[in-house]
Amino acid sequence: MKYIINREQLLVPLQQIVSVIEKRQTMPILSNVLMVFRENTLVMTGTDLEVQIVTEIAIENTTFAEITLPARKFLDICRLLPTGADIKLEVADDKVKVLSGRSRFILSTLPAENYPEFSETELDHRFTINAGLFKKALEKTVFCMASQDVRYYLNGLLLNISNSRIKLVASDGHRLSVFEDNLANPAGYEARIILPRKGVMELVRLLDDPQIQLAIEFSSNNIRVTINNTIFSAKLVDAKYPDFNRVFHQDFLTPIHIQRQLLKDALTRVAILSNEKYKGVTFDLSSDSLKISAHNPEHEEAEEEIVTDYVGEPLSIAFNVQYVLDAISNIDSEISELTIASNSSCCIIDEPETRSYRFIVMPMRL
Amino acid sequence: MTITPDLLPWQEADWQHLVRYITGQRIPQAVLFAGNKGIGKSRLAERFAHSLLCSQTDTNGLPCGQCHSCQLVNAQTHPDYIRLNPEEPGKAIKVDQIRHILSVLSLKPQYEANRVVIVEPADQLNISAVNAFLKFLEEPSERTVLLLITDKPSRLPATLMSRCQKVYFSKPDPERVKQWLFDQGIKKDSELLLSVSKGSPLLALDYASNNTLELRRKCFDQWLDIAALRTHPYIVSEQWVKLDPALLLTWITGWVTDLIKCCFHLPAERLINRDLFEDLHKSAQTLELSRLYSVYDLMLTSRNRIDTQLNKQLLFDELLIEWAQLNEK
Repeated sequence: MKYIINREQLLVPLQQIVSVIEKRQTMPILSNVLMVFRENTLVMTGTDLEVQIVTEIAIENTTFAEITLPARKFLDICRLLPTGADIKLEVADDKVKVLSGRSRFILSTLPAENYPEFSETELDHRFTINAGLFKKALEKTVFCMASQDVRYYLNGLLLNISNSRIKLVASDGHRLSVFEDNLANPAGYEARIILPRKGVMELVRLLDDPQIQLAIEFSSNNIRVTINNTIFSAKLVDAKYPDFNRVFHQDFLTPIHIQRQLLKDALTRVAILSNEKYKGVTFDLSSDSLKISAHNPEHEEAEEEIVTDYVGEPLSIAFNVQYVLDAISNIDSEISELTIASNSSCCIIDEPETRSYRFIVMPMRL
Repeated sequence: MTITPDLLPWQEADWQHLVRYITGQRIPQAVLFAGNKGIGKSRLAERFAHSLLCSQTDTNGLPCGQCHSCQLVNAQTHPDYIRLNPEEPGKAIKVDQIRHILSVLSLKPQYEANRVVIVEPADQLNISAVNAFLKFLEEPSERTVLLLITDKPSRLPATLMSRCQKVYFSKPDPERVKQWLFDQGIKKDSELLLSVSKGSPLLALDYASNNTLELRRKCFDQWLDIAALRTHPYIVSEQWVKLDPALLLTWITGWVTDLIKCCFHLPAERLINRDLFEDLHKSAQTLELSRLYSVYDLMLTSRNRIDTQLNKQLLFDELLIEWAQLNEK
């Protein structure tokens, strides 16, 4: 059996697949890429058992075959061949010959029927969303995810579909970000799933074309995202996401409105002299002014004062400056709104008009 | 390539017990397989795991052998079939291994059937590994079954025991086992093999195929030589430490037990080492019983020490010197 594939067609899909394959594998077959030759298509699959990428490319072919090839080695061969070269694969027994021009390689294979790819069953729920919007939603939340937390539900991202609303939530226990928007086509159901951290990171990388429509399907076990000819799948986290809505249902002080850029610049400057490890800065609120200050173990001090529209009792509260900066940087509006809980238990940072993006940061004790 | 292990003739009842879990749809979240070494616990656990993973088990709870799951199990690439063993044989299962497994298990199983984790040997989980595992053991994620295998259930912490359904494997019927050994091509010495392996068929088979009886005879002669002061304990212990220390210790314990039995004039059939009866009987007549018991105590202490970091040669030195002194009078 012989197949001819152009290098340019193969390279990008193969790179995407290799990116999910981990270097250290528990099973030898997982370092291979599954290649299924069907009529005029080649379907390639790579997985690390947590996420899976399947891509389809068009080739001229009439014979059916299934093989697995060492992914990284095959990618390196393709990558280092001259641009535009045709790559010819010859399948014979448990070896595959790779020929191109005057180069010749023989790769070993493992039986394709032993490849543990995700099952292709129908998934219960589906919706469509614009890739640009979904990527924006992911980017505004992913940085809040925990990594390697024992509360493993925090090492992921909550995706909540409630008819025509989509909501993404991430938290590491110290801060939380919520992104909400409308879906163009109402989904007609309510569902909550948790995507694992690795899956989210991989997905963000795949969404490079903001124009296309994504078809997203999920069940209680898996999520499957179809991006043109690529299908991304991930196992879901087996847990319930903690109820964070109570944070919004408490008494708050009057919100403060500050020019986003002004606050960001002030914070960045003050941050220089904050404790390098804890990054704490103090917010001293009084009528019409916000004083931001920091000091470090070397007794150096920084102070900035910003005029605000705050009315109420004077208040002093401290935050990790990095958390506040992360939030401010993700806000799209000119003005940022800071709302502090009346018992000083948290601060909500959001966009005053749209309120599609909200960020909660817990205070520090200095 | 592993295929679903066949049922050994003495496991029928145990297997039916496990199958009832599946057919009755009352699969426990954690099952502890406890029983002597070499009676096929792992084989039964693997077989049970295979049934749990198959998507189309028949009415007898047997895997179909045809579906994609069965294919992957046979190729050892099933993503929902996880084995947890020490990184090196004889070493402990460390907490990092448990943490890694837990992060894998926090995700949903890949396929529609169950997910199985086999922990073997469970008594090799070190204390921090056990503690890290307890929470999950009590409430695993959905469709996950944990199978723990041990031949030393007494070493497991109570906190772990209490979280498992226990399946105890008793010693199989000797007549049946003898027949089985015969079918396996063991035509002679089957009685003795079984006695030396304490009734564990797979161990007996292993002894027969490795000519272990010959090695045992050689070691026994060396042991008698020490008693007769024909050789020095250090010389022997230096040789013994290169063999399998745990096995040797079992043998010496057996010899000492038999010596004590000989002191009470028990007939040869009641001994573990029937073939050595004459030598043992002769040697027992010159020995003081109370001191023999103190050697026996030392054996038991050594057995607890054998899995630790203790220098094995020093362990044998101590045993053999004690034995030599016993014979000096």
